[in-house]
Amino acid sequence: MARLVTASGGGVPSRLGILIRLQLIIAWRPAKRGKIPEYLAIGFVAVLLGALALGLAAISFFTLLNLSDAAAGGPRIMLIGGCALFLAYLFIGLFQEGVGGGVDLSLLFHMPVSPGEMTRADLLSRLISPWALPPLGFFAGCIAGVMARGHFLFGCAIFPAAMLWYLQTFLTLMVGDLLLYHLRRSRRFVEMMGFLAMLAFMSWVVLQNTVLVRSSADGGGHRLIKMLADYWDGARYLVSLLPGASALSWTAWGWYAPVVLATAVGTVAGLYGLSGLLLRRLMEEGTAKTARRRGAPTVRRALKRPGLIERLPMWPFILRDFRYLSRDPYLKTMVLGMVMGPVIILAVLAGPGGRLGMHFLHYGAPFLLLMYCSQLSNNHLGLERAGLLNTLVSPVPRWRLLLGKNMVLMAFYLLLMCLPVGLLVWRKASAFDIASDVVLAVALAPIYFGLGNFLSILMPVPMAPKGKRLRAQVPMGRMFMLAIAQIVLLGLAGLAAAPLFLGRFALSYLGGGAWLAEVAGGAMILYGLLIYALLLGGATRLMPRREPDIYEAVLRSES
Amino acid sequence: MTDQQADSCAGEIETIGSGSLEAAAGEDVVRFESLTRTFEDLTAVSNVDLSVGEGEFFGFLGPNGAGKSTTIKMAIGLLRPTKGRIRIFGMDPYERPLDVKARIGVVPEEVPLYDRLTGREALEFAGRIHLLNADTSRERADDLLEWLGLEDAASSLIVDYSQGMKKKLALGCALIHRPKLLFLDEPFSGIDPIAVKGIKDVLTRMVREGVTIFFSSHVMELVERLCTRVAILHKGSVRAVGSLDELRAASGLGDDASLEDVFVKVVGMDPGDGGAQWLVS
Repeated sequence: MARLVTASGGGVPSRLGILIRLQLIIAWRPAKRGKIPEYLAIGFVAVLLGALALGLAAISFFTLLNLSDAAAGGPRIMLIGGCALFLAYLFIGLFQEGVGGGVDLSLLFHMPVSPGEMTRADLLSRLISPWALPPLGFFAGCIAGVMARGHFLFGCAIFPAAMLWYLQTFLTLMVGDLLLYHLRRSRRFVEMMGFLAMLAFMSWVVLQNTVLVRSSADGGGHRLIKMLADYWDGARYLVSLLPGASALSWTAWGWYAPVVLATAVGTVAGLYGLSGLLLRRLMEEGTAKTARRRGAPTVRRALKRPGLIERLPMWPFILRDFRYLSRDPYLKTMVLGMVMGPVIILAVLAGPGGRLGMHFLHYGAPFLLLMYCSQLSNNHLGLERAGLLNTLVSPVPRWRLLLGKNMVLMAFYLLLMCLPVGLLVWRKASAFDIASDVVLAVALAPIYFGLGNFLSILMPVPMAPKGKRLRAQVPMGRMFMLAIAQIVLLGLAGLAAAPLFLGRFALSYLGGGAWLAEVAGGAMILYGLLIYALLLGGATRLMPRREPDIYEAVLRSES
Repeated sequence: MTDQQADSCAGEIETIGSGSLEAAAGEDVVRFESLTRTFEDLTAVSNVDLSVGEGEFFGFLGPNGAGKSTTIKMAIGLLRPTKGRIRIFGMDPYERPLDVKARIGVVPEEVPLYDRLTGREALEFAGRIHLLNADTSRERADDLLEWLGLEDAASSLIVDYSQGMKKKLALGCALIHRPKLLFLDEPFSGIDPIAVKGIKDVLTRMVREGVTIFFSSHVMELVERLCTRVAILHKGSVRAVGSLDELRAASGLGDDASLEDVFVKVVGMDPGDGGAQWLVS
């Protein structure tokens, strides 16, 4: 029989090794063994990340090699690249289901593991994950480029700078993950953050579209740009102290370097401490399933005749999916990311850039928004998680269910379309052009959502975490396969939608007032609906045959 | 599970850590004083005073939403109380969380398992987290897999386990470090009757060896058969506590009254009275 090994003597001194092993298993092991495509996908992810690392290495190397003054320009190049990578990792990591490891630590809360141990294990597993490769390539290229120019001291300084960058980036991600846990739990906080984000970007749009354009037009552009440059010159000292920047900006030396270096080290220590503190708070808040608020006693409602819309056969599904989307904290966080992405892109492209921005608003915006909606439309069954059981056992025709889901997404998509439409109104686009864009969007969406039904049925991925968990545990391979399938789907949707884009061009050519334009608009919408009807019919036939597999994929993978 | 296996598992009742960290002689293993937890406008647990001594099989009963799981979460250091005091082996679980967690085993209502580990890996992981060395963890994992009847599924991923198998595995994870105190929240839900019998036997023997079990369940027969003392919680407050005989006497029921009768009397609910008459009309 097993011998007793006590905690006070004989046991291993640290849990770090076993925690890292756990993290690596969870990050890399496919959900089911023997799934060759999933292994291939994992291999492809590794190759892709390696290629990305090599690409970044080449870019940074040749950029630094060809700089006229590598000693002065090198730190700036490194800072720009490092900050871009930092922001990319932060955005992808927090809103796109994780970059580089990280497990649901809440499953460990009842075990004797300290927050510090969890933080260290999480940090180390991220550092040794393949996601650490692209920045490694970037920094290696910087070192090689600087060394080739003979700046050995600068080259040596990049080593600790890169290490500090990794620590700052991954610790920021961890803190973000833990903060997001609260965000997912608190409706008010989500609303507040969403509102603030929207406000910030709308302010930026106003600045770009009115102040800059106006001041350029009246000849004050130079003054304003100079003022902004002066402001930036003063602010860059402050910016260089931020996480992601302070790790690298001290390599520019000068009198300010010790302050920045101290700040960089302090930031790492602060983020490490904050991560532990947040973990401890989460631990003591009851993570898995705390008592819920009891609502007011049920009051028997007076029966009333159902309205016209309530008689629609797909109405119960529309209502349920709408409630799901507006109440589930995980989905709301996802939606927040989906709104912020297009807002940033559209705000940048709709700036005072002239025709290119306008063309994008007209033709690209509907497609861009569909790409963002794909997170919901291409996996709507996987996102239901436990609720899917009710869906699968319900005896209703599947077209009602799928149509209900698609209509909710359609409404959400059209709501998002208000953004480019608003920007077009701002840019004084003609009413006819704006109406044409709306026609394009209305015709395009059914095709895309109709195809999304197929992906959702064929490849459901259980995304939403069960209960109040920190994060969904989706294997990297599965996520990647989903991403590839979405790209393929986008291509198919593009092919199917080609007549719609031709129709949109035709509308521009015909202009407002022509009866032919009205016919073309109507034909576009009819075409979209026709394709959707065909796709819905196909998905309706496919779904019952796939239901056991959907159940298997979504409901039997709990973590 | 054979008797020999049960003996071997039950015979390992020792706590990890030095004796100085165990409850002092005569001191309660679990003690709640005025324990209260509120969630905004809801008081889930209100002024609960309870103590559980060493070697007790303590039943914790209550209807759904009574506050049982909330109380257990507070006791194991996962939910800080709004008011009141908790002592586990004389220690505050929020001041010395690791010391407390190293000495207890927990089977929560929702099993906390990583579904992409195999059963054996999960057990070994639990052992290593409790600072057992690799060899000991492996040996105990094998013993537990055999005892729980999971040896055939030892190398399968947990994602492929049934709910009952997951529950068994969670129990194994809670036992691998031989805790001195066990918190079991509906541990038998989904487990087949043969395994339930085996587990019951071992738990009873563990209690005889001095292990304390804090057992929350809705299965009255189990609680009646296993527990030496019972507390009934309703709407966050302890309505009754004592042995079954004491509860019968306190509720004014006869000697032949079952725990279910006592429970219904204490909680004051009439299960027959309700709406949805269309179901039976």
